[in-house]
Amino acid sequence: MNRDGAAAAAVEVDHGAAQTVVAVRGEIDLGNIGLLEAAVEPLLGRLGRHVIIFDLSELHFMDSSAIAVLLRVAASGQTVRLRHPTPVIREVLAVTGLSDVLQVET
Amino acid sequence: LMSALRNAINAYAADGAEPDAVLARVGRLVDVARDGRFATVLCGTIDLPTGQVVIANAGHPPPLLITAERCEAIPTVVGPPVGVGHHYTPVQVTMPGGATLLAYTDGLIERRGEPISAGLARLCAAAEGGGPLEEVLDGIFAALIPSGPHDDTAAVGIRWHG
Repeated sequence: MNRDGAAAAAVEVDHGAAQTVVAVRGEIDLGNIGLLEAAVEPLLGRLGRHVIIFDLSELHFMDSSAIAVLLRVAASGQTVRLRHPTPVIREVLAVTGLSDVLQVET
Repeated sequence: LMSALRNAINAYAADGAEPDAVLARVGRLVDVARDGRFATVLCGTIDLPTGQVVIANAGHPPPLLITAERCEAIPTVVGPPVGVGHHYTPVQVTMPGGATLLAYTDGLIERRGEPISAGLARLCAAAEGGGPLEEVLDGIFAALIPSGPHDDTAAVGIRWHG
């Protein structure tokens, strides 16, 4: 955990035939949101309805800038699912009124 | 975006719309699919003589009710942020005499390495104890944002006298 310095995160994209899995690990905030934006940008312009799974099982913090990215992908017409969000991330989704908007895989 | 939404909220509220209807209408002005943007909003009306407050919540952290004895999150029904959804459910609370209603942005309670509930507990600890409202607000910022407020942290306190 890195409380004082910049947030540290790793974003990994795995393109499968049926679905794309975007694994987001660590902590995401305004300071390093570019990592996530760069990873999902190529996915936004695709035609047709794809399934994009955000694996959040090792994500321990996200602020509203990360929520904005998730909502943009969901709004682009693709099917978005959040896989195994940690309790901290679940709390963020609940407080932000998104538990019913973004589909969560438990 | 914020000033545009604030003007629209004022206009709809002045027109007599209830808080949940205000949020539903404002939600037509911004669309995360079209603009890539959204906003969290707490919208409330206050009836001064009775202390009755009606609040609708679009994805915002809960407002606090603070008295000399307790500090608690007002259990609003959390709807989606404005720009994401259109349906909101209002809740009504009656403010006791001397109570303070505190609304704030997420930047005040979010801290990396801890859940939001821990940030809420810190906020309540800093808000309890009474004193003039200005001092309470100063104390909150000093306790929660020791490095000084960022441009995304804001808090509004409303106190009932009598």
